Order: sequence, then structure tokens, then C-alpha cells
Amino acid sequence: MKNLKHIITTLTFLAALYAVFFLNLFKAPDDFSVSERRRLAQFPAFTLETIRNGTFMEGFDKYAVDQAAFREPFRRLKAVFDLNVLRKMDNNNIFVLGDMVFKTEYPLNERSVLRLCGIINTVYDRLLGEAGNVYYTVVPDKNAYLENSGHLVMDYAALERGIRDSLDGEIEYIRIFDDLSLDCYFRTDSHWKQDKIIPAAQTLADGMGVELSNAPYTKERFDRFYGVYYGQSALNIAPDELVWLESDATRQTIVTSMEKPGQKLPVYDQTQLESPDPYNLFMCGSAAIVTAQNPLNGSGRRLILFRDSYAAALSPLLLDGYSEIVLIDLRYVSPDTLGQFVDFVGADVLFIYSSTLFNASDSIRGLSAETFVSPFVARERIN
Amino acid sequence: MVFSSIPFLFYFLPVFLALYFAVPKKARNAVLLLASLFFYYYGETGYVLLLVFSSVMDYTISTFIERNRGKPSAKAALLISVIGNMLVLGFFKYSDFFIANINALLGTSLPLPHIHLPLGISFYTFQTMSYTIDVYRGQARPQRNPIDFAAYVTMFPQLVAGPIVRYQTIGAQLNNRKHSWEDFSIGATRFIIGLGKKVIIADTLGQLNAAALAATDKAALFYWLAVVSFMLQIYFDFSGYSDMAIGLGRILGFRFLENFNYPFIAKSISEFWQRWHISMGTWFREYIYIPLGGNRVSRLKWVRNIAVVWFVTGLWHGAAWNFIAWGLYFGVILALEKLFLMKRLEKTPSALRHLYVLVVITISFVIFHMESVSAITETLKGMIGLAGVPVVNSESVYALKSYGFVLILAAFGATPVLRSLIRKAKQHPKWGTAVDILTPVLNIVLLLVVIAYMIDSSSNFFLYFRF
Repeated sequence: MKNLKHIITTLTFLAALYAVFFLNLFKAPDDFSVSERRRLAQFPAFTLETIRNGTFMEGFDKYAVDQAAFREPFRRLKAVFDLNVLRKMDNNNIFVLGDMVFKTEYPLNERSVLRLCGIINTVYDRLLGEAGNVYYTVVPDKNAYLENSGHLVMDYAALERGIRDSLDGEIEYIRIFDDLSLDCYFRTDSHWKQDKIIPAAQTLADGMGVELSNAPYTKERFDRFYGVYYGQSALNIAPDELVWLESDATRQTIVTSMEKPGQKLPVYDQTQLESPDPYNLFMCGSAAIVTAQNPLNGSGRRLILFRDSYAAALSPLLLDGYSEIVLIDLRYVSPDTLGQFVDFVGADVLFIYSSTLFNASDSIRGLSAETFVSPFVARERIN
Repeated sequence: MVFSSIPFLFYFLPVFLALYFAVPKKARNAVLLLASLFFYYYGETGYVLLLVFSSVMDYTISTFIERNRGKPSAKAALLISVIGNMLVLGFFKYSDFFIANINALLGTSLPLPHIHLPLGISFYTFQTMSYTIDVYRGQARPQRNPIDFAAYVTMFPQLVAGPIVRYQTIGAQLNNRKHSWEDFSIGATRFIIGLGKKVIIADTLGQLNAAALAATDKAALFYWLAVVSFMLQIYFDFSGYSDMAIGLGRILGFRFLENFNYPFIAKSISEFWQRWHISMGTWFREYIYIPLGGNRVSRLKWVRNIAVVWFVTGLWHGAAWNFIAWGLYFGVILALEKLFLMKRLEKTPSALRHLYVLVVITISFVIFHMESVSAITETLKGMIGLAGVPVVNSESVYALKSYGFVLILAAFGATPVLRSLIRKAKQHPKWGTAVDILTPVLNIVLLLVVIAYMIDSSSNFFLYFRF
């Protein structure tokens, strides 16, 4: 009897050990993790040189983790254990309240805010001399609407204050914090819902002196939207419904992207709904320079948006007021070269960035060293 | 390669165990040797040659000593071994420290060589050195088979972070060891528990420690969280590794000595060091303290002996002054205990004795963890509210809420309460059966949770690797 328990303990251990061994040995490698939205490590080059210099082993470490059998269930197990057994407040900075997933945006990174403000000031100084009115707005991330949750929340008032104090005084602020609420954001994603941000779009339009038609939109729906937080949380959370708003303007508008020369694209590219990031449905998604030409507006008025991904869902709601909207994402194009592609003369310009990007602005490209105005110089100039 | 990694658990261990148990008993040391060299090469590539060099040197020298026993040349050979091992350790571990101090002292600007510190060098040089010393003293019979000797030196279960296994502990087992279901099951259970301690508890506490240290808005609570989390992290990290080493050794038929015995329940610092990193303490006692005369000398020499041992203990942990200060701090406390305090402590209520140990240990971990005098004083001041920061702030409260349960779990796990309960249950007829049935089930559950953490985690480095 005593030996039997040892035999059983030994055999169960060996069974588990060899089960994972054979499962991993014969599992075909995956190229991409849909939930994490990233490419997975592949088997490293196996040569005498890579074995000698250790790069094979480094690569194999990554490969073994990325290609582990039942990777997703294991990630889910870890998240459940962290949150429900160890009672941690978050798992890898992701936390769930009710059925909504959040990512901790804390603390306020003043250096990052100053950096982005410096870039905006420099763009303003260098490129927008002949532009029309120049505005900026801050899109709050959804943590801004958390109340008494016990989670760490950035000081959004300090963020707004810091931006206001650092940006050129000629750039006018249009505040949209009060037009939004938690309900305006997806449960499984960081972004806002297009059908819930009409008041914010109206506030921006009013601020820029643009009239939007009150014609009702037609709602189109996609009910299997698994946002970026869904994958990061690794938890079993119901998908969101992705709604987009069609109007005559959105149907008639022709979109072009610098990355896809010569192609005429729709405002809502529904082929993206089956892609790893369905949010790319809006205005070509992540792209350097996107131009939307609305033939229904003959005013010739133009809007340039320096933006992050939040503006993709917003810009179709502003189409009514403009003949052309240009979206520029400085994460993918250097401001040094912008003058070659975009005509700023007479155009309204709106810098629209999320609080998340202000707080982590490393991905935004600055201007070349000779012309770049450091944020600290920018602040001094304001003072 | 580390135990708490997917390559080790999913690939290395199954292949190794299959090979090890498939070959005849006589060939098992050769399999163990080759696997250990591969294990080391996987993480350290060319530095495996250093390991081979260390093995060859001490094998050759100990053989020479045995053949020339009683002759002056034997003593000379021993000196060569000790100096050789010290030179290897000194070159790889202390070059930067030595040159930096020369520069500071003489105002020179000699360049620092930034030599890579090979994993486990502090452990295996001490092992090989102790072997040669034991052979010289006649306390160990020299191993004639170079493969068996190399298997002892390079044995992967304890190669990179101990415990420091003296040859006399497993010398007989190298040539004649038994393998049994009991050893395997106990070893496997111990290995999985060690994995759990490392991956689930220590690494989670490491996150808390990193968060507390990185906090921009400090509070007294943060200083406490940083220190307490580090104390428990290093205990679960290192004792977890020792559990894994002892467990793997047991699977292979070896009986390594225990390395930890619930040190935080000690009632004096002397007792703490009988419970913490036991193999290292034993090594320094056997090979430095006693040869210097131990406590059977004049009081002045005895104080010198303590100072030497604890200076070396500090230096062994790292090439930095905070480690030396940490060692000497313990030297002073231990000397005080032996001279005055112990008699008083024996008359003191247990609770106060525990408190005394915890206070001394807490301060020691501040010295151990912080690399500069300013950081040490800032932390100590912060803990007692003299750093000009609030007692708590939202960030520190969040950290406490987020990691509070892990801290409680770790504090409970650092006591022998659970072990006592399980032992009592085993003696009970019904509960004993329940424990027998639950053991394999819990093993698998724990293993799955550990794998989940390994797949999702980015950090699996053992703290004691750098020593």
C-alpha cells in the first residue's frame, strides 16, 4: 500500500511530464497569436555558429514559450489564478470590473507629455504657418471615468493642465471629457464606440466652427469584436458589438492611403472585420497618411488631423463639414517629410491624441535634431 | 538553463530522465555528466570549459595528494588547488570590484574589464575546493573515476545555485545508489513544490518589490513593502531552488543535505544561520572558521575569526561593499550574541525573541538589497517615517491590496505550520489516506499552474544565480 502511493505519484508525474513533452514535440508551430496580436517566435536557425554563440538557445527559449501547446488555456489559467486565487488587483496591469476590461494607465508620465507637446509645438512652428485655425483635444482613456474602483488612476486634471501649459498658446483647446462616459468605450478594447461619440464629434465641430448635418445615421453591426484587452486579459469575456455609422457622406467619400497608392478605399473597410484587429475597419486603421474626400461637401474646407487610432472612428462623423479630411499618424511618418505629401495652407488642423499616447509618447516621431524644439525649451517659451 | 523554464521542463527533463533510467546503472553517471555539461552549455556556452578545467584541476590534484600523502608536496598541491580556485573565482567575480577600489583609493582610472560572471561559479569552486581539502585531511576517499568525479562537480540539479554539496555527503552514492519508487515520488513532489515556491510566490513577490522600488511617490508603506517582499522573495526563490535541487537529486538516487529549515522562526541570529543557507554556513565553518581555531582560542582571536568568516561570507554573496557590510553586520550581531546577548535572550519571552530576530533580519536585508549607503539610510529612515514621506499613499495602498494575500501566503509558508499539519494528518488513519490520494492530484494541479505562470511570465531568473 505504501509503495503503491509512491508508484501512483511517480507515474502521474511522469505521465504529465511526457504528455507535455510529446504534445510540444508534435505540435505544429503557429505563426500568429490572434489574442495577443503578435507574431510568435519560430524555431531558431540551428547551425554550429548559432549553437556556439548561444543565439540558438536564446531563440529556443522564446520559441518554447511562444509555441507551448495549449498556450491560450494556460494564459487563462494564470490570469484566473492571479486574480481569483492570489487576489491580485490586476494581471499584467489588466483588470476587470463587471464585464469591462481595463488597463492601468498610471502614473502620469510628465516627461512623455512634455515630449509630445514639444513635437506638436515644433510641427506647429514648422509646418502650420499658413494653416487655418489650429486646435487640439485630448481623448481620455476609459480609466478617466472610473470612480472609487480602488484601482490606480492617472491625474487627468494634471494631464490637461500640463498639456495646456506646454503647448503654444495659439493652439486652441477643445475639451471633450464631459461628452464621454464609461458607456462610450468597448468592454474588451481601449477604444471608444463610434455610435457613442456623436456628442464629442459635435463639440469638436462646434469648436472648429463647422456645421454638421443632423441627418440620422444608419447603424451597421459586427457582433464578434474581440478587442485588444480581450487577448491581453486572457480571460473568457464575451465579445463586443462593433457598430459603425453610415450616412450619405460616408458612402460617397473616397479614401486613399499613402501605404496603398492608387487604391480607392471605403470609409469602412469591412474586410478588416476578419483581421486580427477589426478596429482597422475605420479609415484604413493604422496608416501614416489617409485622405478622405467627400464629394457631397463643395465648400472646399479641409481638416488635417494629427492623430492616433481614436480619430479613425471619429473622423467619419466630421465628414459632413469638410470636403477633405487628412489623417496623419506621426507614429508611421516623420514630420520632416510631411510637407511633401500634405498641403496645410488654409486647412483647419486638429491635434487629437489620447491620454494613453500623451502618457507614452515614445512611439511618436519627432522632427530631425536640427529643427526639433525640445519640450523643455517649449515650456520655457510658454513661460 | 533554469529549472523554472519551459525548455527545461518540457524538453530537457523528459529526455534526460528517459536516457538516465534507460541505461545500465554503471553508465548513469556518464549520462548525468553529459546532461549536466549540456545543461550548463545551454546557458553559458563556452564557460563550460571553466567548469571542465575546475574538475580536471581538482581531480588531478586530489589524486596527487592521495599518492603523496604525508609528504610536503601534498600540502603544496593543496595550496595550488586552493589558490587556483580562488584565482578563478577572484578573476571572474571580483576583478571589477578590485580595480574600482584601487581606482578610488589611488585616484587612478584603470579600465574595468567587465568580465562575465559564469553561472554557479561561487558554488562549484567551493565544491571542488572542499573535495580537495577533504581528501588532504583524509576525510574523503579520492574518487578514482574521472567521470564519476566530473559528474559530482557538474551535477546539474545543484550546479548553478547549490546547495553546496560536499563530496563526503554523496561520495558513496556516486558509486552505489539505489533508485526507488519512494525516492522518485518524494523527489518529484519536492521538485514541484520548489517550482511553485519559485514561480508562483517568489516571482510574484518580485513584482511587488519592483513596483515598490520604482514608485515615484514614496510612502513609508512602500519602504516596508519593498523590504518585506524582498525578504520573502529571496527566501522562496532560494529555498525553492534548493527544494528543486534536492528533489531532482532524490529522483536520481542522491540524498543532498537540507539547505533551509524555516529560518524566519529562529529565536536568535545564531539559530537563524543554522536554518538559512545551511550548506554555505557549514562550508565556512568547516573550511575557514574551525581551521582558524574556531572559538577555542583567545577572545581576541575568536573575534578575529568571526570577523574573517563574516567578511568572506559577505564577499561571497557579491562583489560590492554592501555585501561586505551585510556580512560584517551579522558578524557583529553574532559576536554580541555569543558574548552577552544569548544568556539574556534565553530568559526573554519567545515572542520578543522572534521580534528581535525579525528586526535584525529586516535591517540585514535592507543592507543586502540596497547598493549604496544613501539608499540604505533612505530605506531605513523611510521605514520609520523619517524620510519626509507620508505613511501611506494611494499607490502603496494599491500595492498592499494587490499583493496582500500573496504576502500572507508567503509569511504562512515561511513557517512550518503547514508541514506540521500534513505530518499529523499522515499519522491519522483516515486523513493519512486522504493525503496519499491528494498528493499526486495536487502535484499535477500545482505543476499545471506553474506551467501557466512560466508561459505567461517574462522573468524566471533565480536571484542566487548571481552569487
